[in-house]
Order: sequence, then C-alpha cells, then structure tokens
Amino acid sequence: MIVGALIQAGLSGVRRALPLPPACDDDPANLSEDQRRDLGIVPLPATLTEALKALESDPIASAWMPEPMRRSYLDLKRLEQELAESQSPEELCRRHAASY
Amino acid sequence: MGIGMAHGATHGITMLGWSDYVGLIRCRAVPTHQLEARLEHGLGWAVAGQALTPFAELAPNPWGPMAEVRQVPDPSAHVVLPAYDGRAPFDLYLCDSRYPDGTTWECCTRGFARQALAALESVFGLRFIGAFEHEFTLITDTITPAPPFSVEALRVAPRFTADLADALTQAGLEPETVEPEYGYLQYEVTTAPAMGLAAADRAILTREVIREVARWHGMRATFSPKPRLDAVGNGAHLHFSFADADGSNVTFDPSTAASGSRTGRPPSGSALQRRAIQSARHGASTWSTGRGTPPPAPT
Repeated sequence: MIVGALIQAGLSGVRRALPLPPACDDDPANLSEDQRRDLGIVPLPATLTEALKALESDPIASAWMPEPMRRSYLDLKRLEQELAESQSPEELCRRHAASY
Repeated sequence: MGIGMAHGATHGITMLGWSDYVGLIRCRAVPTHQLEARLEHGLGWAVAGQALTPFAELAPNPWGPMAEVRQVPDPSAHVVLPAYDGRAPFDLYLCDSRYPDGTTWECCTRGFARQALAALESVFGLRFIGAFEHEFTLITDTITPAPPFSVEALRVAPRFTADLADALTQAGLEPETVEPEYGYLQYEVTTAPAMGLAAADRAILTREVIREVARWHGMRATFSPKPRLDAVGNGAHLHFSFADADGSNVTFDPSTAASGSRTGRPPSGSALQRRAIQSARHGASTWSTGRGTPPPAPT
C-alpha cells in the first residue's frame, strides 16, 4: 500500500503542476519554527487518530482508494486505534512484537 | 524472482500469500503437487479476513462470512528456499485478489499498487524504481547482545547472518547488505533496487525470508517499530526514483537546487515526497506512531 500511495501522491502533485518546494538539507528538528514555516515543513501526524483524520479530511488522498477500500480501511484502522487506547504501553509493545 | 524449483515438485506445501491492510502476510496453502492447477484461478478466500486487526479482532465490514474472491498466485512473486537442516522447504507465492471473472478486487493491496504504477506509466511514461532497507530485532535467549554496529554484534549470530545472506541470494532478492544495527540484537538488510511492482514484492518477500531464516535458528525476527519499550525501534526506508521507457533514470536534474527534476516532467521533488511520507504514515499501525518521538535511531 505504501508504494501505491507514494505513486498516487506523486501523480497528484504533477497533475496539479505543484512547484518544487525549497530543499532542506538539515534535520527539521534542528530548525526553528520560523525556518520550518518558511520551508513549508509540517510535522507528520503523531498518532494514528491524527493520521486517520488527515486522510479523511483530504479529498485528494481519499480519492486514491476505491470507495470500498477507503471505507473498510478506515473502519479497520479506527478499531485498531480504539483497541490501542484500552491497552498499556507494555501490552501494546508485547502484542506488536508478537504479530510483527 | 523465483528460483524455479516448485514447478513439478511432488511433495511439500506451497503458500499462497497476500499483504493485508495491516501489513501482515496472510496465506492459504496447497500441497505443492496441486499447485499447477491453482496457478490460473487461484484459491477462494473469504474477504472478511481483510478486516482483521494485527491481532484477532475483526473490524466492522460490509462483507460477512460468505463473500469471496480468488487469491491468484503470481509466478513473478515467488520464493523457494530448499529444506534447511531437516526442516520443510519454504515455498511462498504472492497473490492478486481477483473476482472469478479475473478483474481485480477493489480492496486488493497489490492491485492498489499495480493500478498506481500503471497510471504512472500510461500518463507519464515512467517506471518506478524502489529499494527498501529493513530493520529488525532478533528475539532469543541464546545470544549475548553486543555493542551497536560492531563486528561482535554480527559475529554473535554468525550462522544466522551467513544463512540469511545465502537465502536472500538464492531467493533472487539481491541482498546488498546484512549488517548489525544500532539496537541490541538489531540488524539491517538492504536489497538492490527493483522495477515497478517487483520493488514492493521484493520488500514483502525479503521480510518473510528474514523471518524464515530466524526460525531455522530457533529465533524470531520482529519488525515491530518498538519491540521493547526500552529498545531501539525498527524502521523501513524506501529509496525511489523513476526511469523512462528505455530504463534510463530521469529523476536526477543537476540544474535544480535539490538536484531533483521539476514536476511536469518526472514526479519527483519534495512536495511529492512530503505527501508520500504522510500517506505512508496513514498506513502505519498505532504502535509505529509511538516510535516517532525523538531521539530517532541512527540508520
């Protein structure tokens, strides 16, 4: 899915003729807020909840998936998030190491 | 990328696998002598399985227990490892999920990548080139951990690392490095770039070969982004570029500040990359977002 999303993101940028943003040759964590803003650097979602909200509120990214995939994927990821919220970090850690 | 042994084999078991929404490789399996009959139409599969979390829970889904598609093995995404030390051979195909009439199921993850790659080629005449780096941690009681990146860290598991390099090579996955990483019992494997869908297939098959070789040695390889709360996390890096119809790399343009070609020609550039990385995080598990806090593991 990562390869599919990556390519779709590229196609979307090219179709809309987005300009190439400025290059950043430093770790964004070392830059000031102002420098990051000038470079157009936005932090990635810090939680799955934020990531799912970002996907749902983005009509472009949402259109990459066929509707049955988008809906079932979001339902699954929401359940994953609910389950995670009811578990301790130790339990989450143990279960993920067992599955992955 | 198969090494061409399964066809005609008369014993053993062949796995027909697919990568699901949570990035686990699930499978059905057939006696290898029956594989030939399965290559064309595959095996039926109850699609509600696509609603499984990484554990045992099933998410709400529209499919119910009866809806099925076919899992059709693709001979271009096949690895065979011969029997190791008396163990059974490892024989795995990746599948496309198709309706009985051959059209792709809308929720097939391989189909999702295939469709995007086809658009890239048909609209822009470009082909994707990708190479993955995989970090993983060995779970074992039998190895004493050693300092990061050290010769000692590699040589405390000498048979495992040597067998892993051999198995990846034999499977046609073109390993470039097998090396100690920053974390205790953490290692990294990089493979050569591959073109198009083969790049994604190679990433999936590489992970499964790593797991198998760890099993040979009585260990587990985990790719969990945080295998223990006090452990260095595991990540996967994807390096990518684009080639034209002749196979020439078209991503590099020395006339731009970042040496990346402008949009309108090849889809490179950081706008693409930022969006792409964000998309990748959409696919992350709850636990991988827990890893995204500094300090990151050096890689």
